[in-house]
Amino acid sequence: MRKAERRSPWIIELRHLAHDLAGAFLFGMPFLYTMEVWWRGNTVGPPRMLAALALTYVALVVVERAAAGRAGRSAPWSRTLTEAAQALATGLAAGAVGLALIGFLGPNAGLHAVVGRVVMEGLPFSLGVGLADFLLGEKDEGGHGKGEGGRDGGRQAAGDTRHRVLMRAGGTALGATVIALTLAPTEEIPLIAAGLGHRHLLILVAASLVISYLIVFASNFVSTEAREAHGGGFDAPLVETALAYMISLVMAAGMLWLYQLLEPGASFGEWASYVVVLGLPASVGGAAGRLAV
Amino acid sequence: MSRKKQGESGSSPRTPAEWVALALALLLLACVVGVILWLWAKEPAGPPRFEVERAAVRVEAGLFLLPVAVRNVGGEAAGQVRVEGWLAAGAREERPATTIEFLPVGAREEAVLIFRADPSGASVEVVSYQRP
Repeated sequence: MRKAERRSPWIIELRHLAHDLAGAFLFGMPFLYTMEVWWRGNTVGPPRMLAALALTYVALVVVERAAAGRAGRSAPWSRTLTEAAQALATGLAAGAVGLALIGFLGPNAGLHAVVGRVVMEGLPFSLGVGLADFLLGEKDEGGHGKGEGGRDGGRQAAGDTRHRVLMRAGGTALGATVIALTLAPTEEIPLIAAGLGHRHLLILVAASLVISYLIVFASNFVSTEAREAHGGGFDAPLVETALAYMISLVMAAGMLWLYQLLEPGASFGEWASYVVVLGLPASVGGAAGRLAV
Repeated sequence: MSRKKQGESGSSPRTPAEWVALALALLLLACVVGVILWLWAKEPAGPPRFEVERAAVRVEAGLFLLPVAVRNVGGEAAGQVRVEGWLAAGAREERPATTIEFLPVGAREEAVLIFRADPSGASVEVVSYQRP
């Protein structure tokens, strides 16, 4: 029954899109929280925007070519060229979504700045798609032998649930810390938080959950089927995603306190907005951490 | 090196789903490139220029709040755009001012100038900016 579902070309294409989006957010997130990247978009002129797109496209062609070679696939050039175009489009779309999420794609900025920001931010996001194809190529359905032994061996070690939960919680905490540590002391966090209203913060929470779910469960970075097969407790994808987000938020709050961006006496609104803003990259880092364990 | 075999993964014919995905991607790229070309052709050249709009005055706690919006209609972005109001009310002169951090081409920012007297007759203008 699973086989029949997987065969549908639309499902395969959606999975492919999820894989690409996951790669874009995984690699692009640190650049989204670097204001100089989109700041440059405000002043960049149209000729330079086109040059940036062209250079990125060339880089993507090279990466996609290398990815095909690495995976032992022989792909005709026409397919490499269209793959690169799709990676660029996905990266630009993901970059635009990211900018909208942190509130820097408002109509007040003017069309020039909006397009400039999307192009400048789209570059790292597009390269993220390419890198995901190169480093974390899509695992085929079934995922036999591709996932590092431990994951596939999960079923045989059925009594090991507690160990696995601990491993994933630890992976989440570690990944979230690695990403949040580099972003917590930056000016971007208060800057972004200041611009976001309550509704926007809720959207950010939802986006953090969706993106980390995409990276861990829908991306095929590791054999997704093996992950889903566990089932139950922390293993259920939705539960795991929610719990991992909680862990990421706690780590984010810890970092903010450590770097004195927040004092215990700060208002609840301030705490909530800073933690949710840093929670997005932290949850992406946490998702990456879970992929690694 | 050698010729690729038909039917190998990667060289098999595209499915309708793949065609749709490719078409959407190309459409999106065409839109982005199209907008950039349009900006290139249509955008005003030259240094930043500013348009100042004034909204209705609000009175709060005996003070007059004048909301103003500044739009950059020139061809370059401007930083530290200083907006100054000027009002001569009897013997007293008022010069409330605010600075807009950054105003890209075509961008519009809102600010409020606070006067002690009714600013209906006040003038509001941009008095300085920095080139970023």
